[in-house]
Amino acid sequence: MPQLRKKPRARRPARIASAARMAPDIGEPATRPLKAYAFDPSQGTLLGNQMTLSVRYEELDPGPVVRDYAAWDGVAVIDYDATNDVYYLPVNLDDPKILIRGGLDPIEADPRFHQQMVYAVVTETIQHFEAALGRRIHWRRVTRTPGQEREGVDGNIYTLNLFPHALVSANAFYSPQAHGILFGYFRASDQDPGRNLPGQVVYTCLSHDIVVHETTHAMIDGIKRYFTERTNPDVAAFHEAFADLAALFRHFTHSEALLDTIQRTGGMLYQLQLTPDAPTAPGQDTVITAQLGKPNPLVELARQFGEATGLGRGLRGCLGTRPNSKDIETVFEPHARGAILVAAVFDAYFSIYARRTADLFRIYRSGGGQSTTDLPGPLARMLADEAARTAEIFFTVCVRSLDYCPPVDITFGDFLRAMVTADFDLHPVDDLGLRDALMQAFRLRGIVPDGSAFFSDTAIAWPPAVGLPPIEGLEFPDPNGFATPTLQEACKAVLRPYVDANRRALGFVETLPVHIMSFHPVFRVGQDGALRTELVVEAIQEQAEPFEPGQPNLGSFPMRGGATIIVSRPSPAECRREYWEHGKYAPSGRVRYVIGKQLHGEVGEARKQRQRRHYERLGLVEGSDPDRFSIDFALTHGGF
Amino acid sequence: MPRTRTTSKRSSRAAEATSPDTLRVRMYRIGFGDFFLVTVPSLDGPQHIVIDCGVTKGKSGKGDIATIKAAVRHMADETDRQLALIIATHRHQDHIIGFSRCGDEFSHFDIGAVWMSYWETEYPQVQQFQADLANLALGLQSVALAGAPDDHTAEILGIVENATGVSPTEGPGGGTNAKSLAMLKTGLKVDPEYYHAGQTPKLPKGLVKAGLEAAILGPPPAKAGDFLALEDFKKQYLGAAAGGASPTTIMPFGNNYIAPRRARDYPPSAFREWAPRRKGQRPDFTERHAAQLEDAVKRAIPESLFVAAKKLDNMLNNQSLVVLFTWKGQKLLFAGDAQAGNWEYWLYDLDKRVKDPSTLPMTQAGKDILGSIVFYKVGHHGSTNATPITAVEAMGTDFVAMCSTEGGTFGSVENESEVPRAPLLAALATKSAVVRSDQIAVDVEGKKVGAAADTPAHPATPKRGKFVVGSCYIDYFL
Repeated sequence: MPQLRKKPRARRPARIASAARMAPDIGEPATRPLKAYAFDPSQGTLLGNQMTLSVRYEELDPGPVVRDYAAWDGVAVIDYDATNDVYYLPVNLDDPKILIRGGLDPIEADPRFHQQMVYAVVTETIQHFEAALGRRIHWRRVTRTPGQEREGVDGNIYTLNLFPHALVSANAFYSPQAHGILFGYFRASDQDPGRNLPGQVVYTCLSHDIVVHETTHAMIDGIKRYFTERTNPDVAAFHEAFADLAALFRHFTHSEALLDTIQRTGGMLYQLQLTPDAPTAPGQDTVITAQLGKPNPLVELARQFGEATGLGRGLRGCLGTRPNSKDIETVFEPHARGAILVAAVFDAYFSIYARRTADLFRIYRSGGGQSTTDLPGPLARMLADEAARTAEIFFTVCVRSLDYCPPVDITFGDFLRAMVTADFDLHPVDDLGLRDALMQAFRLRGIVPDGSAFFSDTAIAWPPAVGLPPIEGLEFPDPNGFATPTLQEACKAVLRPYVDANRRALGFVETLPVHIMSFHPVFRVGQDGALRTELVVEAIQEQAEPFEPGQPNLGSFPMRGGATIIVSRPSPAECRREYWEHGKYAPSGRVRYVIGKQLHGEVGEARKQRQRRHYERLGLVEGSDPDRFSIDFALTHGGF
Repeated sequence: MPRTRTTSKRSSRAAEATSPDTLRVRMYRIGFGDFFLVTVPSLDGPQHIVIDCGVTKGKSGKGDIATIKAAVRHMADETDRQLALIIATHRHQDHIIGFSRCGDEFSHFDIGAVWMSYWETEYPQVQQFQADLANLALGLQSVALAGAPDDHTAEILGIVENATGVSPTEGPGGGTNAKSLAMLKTGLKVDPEYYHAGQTPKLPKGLVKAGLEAAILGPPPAKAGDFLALEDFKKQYLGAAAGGASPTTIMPFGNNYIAPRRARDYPPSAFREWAPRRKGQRPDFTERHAAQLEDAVKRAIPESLFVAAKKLDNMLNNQSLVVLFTWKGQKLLFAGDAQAGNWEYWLYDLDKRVKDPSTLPMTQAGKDILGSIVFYKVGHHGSTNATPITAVEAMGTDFVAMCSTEGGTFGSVENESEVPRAPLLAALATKSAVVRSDQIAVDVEGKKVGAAADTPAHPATPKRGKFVVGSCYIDYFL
């Protein structure tokens, strides 16, 4: 939840202070320019690989560390190396010599550039995410049982710690225990290092894709606390897929690389190979570097990492698997399973891109152009604009759909329903054909939602809530969110009795207590241009479920039910009508959706059975550590 | 060189087993490991099957009670060095070390057949896979040894030693897993047969004549996915070590970049995440809580090694050859150390098309087998991961369960990971007569080992057949 930021006032000598009072304040800059690799060091300087990011201006201490302790989406870079047990000197981004250069230039040998890049990319990712989400995020929050007080360092993350060189390992991971992200470094393969030197040191923190991927894990964990509890095979895969989606969609915001790829693929962005700069004469071998075809950088992830570990390609891609409905039943490794979801989303993306650019190609062809050759500059730019715009729309739908997911036990089918609902809610008329493209792409890969009767967008979207009374007395916060704890408490005081009184109607078990886990306002501009204010409330119930019914001493696992309740603020017309018809207006909220996972009934039993089997398969029956049900990102990561 | 045989002793012991209609399962107490002798009566005299012969020290270092050599000599006398069949379920020290540690003994045996897991075949891909696993284990060992000596490290080293059979310090008795595998594959004058689930094994003639039938339920056949899993696994944990470089030798930057004053070269704000917090109070952000931060980062790392070791352990356990013997219509299940992945292959019909395979019901065939067994060799020395709860649920109420184990070797009661796991044995005890090897005292060749504490003084009374306790073993007569 965003907080008002208070700037600590610097002390100035009195004489200067009086002079400053007379001159108008220059004001704070909006952004801070910082340099970073667009992909990773192995891509050289081509393709705009060395880019300048304009990240939001924040006051920074050396590290960099976001100075404002009250910012809940703040980060701190601390270059502590646990393998060698040393700290590397921190970069001071406010050093005039750095400021005047617009950030340190990319250089692999200087850890201070690494620190700058990690800070810049993480901040850029947060900004991108927050813009799509329509609110400021916060990091992980643990749920406390009522009455349980905070003591010492708790499980909450207030400032995300970033360790650019934490360990020697071909791995980078988000670790809630370390309150941050640990990036590893390692030696490239001796035998087949690709574009790296054999045995050279490769830094995962210099891969733009890896940094975005890990940051996304941390952000989702902040938004959806229980998406790290792997209650079914899709949960860990969803986390990976979402992090990959964020990293891949970012590629399409990079205009230079996008333009270059469009020209080298004849506008067919989904091609896996780029046309080489220089043609090879028929019947002859390639003799110079320029004749070599290169892989399409937009559709693959973490090329240097993949090559350094001997894969000979990027670690993963968005089009890695041929569409089939079999994989979803047989593939369980989280990244590989996640790749199915990623491929489905990108299938829809490229389909929409192709549809929206079809007319441009028709005009081009009617003028005698051939789409397989180099495209003229203006056409390439129009295509690039279209690709970037469509990518932005998709990314926004993906991020916003998080608000439409159930709070626990996510499946790919739920995510499809959430995406369709999120888009439906804002754009009732599907003029882009986005929902249809998503549904077809998901169906092709065997992902179909549970419990929807038909395969149409209205049937796949979550059903609107019916028959629930309004939430009396609910005051909606202003666009800055709940600025004060008092407002927050007041809101909770209204929500708690409402949820308690309507347990059955909200799909909860009546005999178990319900915890309000989170609630936050969202502000969206609808297709009609009107601002819509909503409150997203997450409530959960939990109970201990024995691994074997009737044998509680064989161990048990936490079984959770829950609901995401979307509450809308009445429109001004509704408020006026109420005032005129009843003589007064009392604030209230209307429940629009209840997106739930039940604990009881047939659905609840099936979920319990599925969860039990899944834990058994993962070998989690043994042990008493409650954390064992959570994803350990250090281990699920096939590299990262 | 044939040895002189102690015929007088043998005939008395053999008399117990030669009762024409009694099958005997003998569980030797050798510590944390498996060493079973199944003796099937036949008109041509008793036919003997050895299932596994190994022991490991484990995390606590107390798993090996150093009776395996005496037990093997005892078995040699008992069987007159004539074995119809040897089954080596998988390549863990606690299942095979005896074949090299007592290699001299085994080399004088007359063996009808050797069965091993499909994962021991000589196909290049499989061989490479196993070699990689072994290297990985060694790599883990070096990384773990470089770390701080804590509880996790001890467990990692225990697991890794079990996987390689090589101890960083000289273990008692000698032998390695590699030597044992060589012995099994080439040293017994008979070529092993390698099986996976669904294949029909070739039983030696003597056993066929004795009326024994066998079916192979596990391991699952190798799929490309399994190899991929290993690829990922290697990259994850040993990317650095894989290149030949020891993980501690990389200094990524020049010395001039190292902060001479460590945390004090950072502003206090860098450490504010680690300031203690109290509700309603502003935390103290002026201190550098460097120790907490360093500790948290370090703790985030060895954990991964620990689970890596666990995964390695699971991978090897899942290669277990699972054999179902049927004798006179009675089913005996020897599951090796198979864990969930191995069990589910034959308990659930994974080819059936469903969206979420974790919801599959157990197949009728799986239910029938589990519902009708009269003997179950408890998997993995009594750990819960090796006897899925759904399997316990499906088992009948009228069988004998034998668990070869040594309490206090792996896991701990506090975090509910002790092996054998008390609640699992309790659950089995409600349905079957459970006996564990460490509940008997050993008195063999002058070596005495007392029964483990907190174990029942007498074996349970089975509904059919009986238990008889011997000098270093316990017999079940069916």
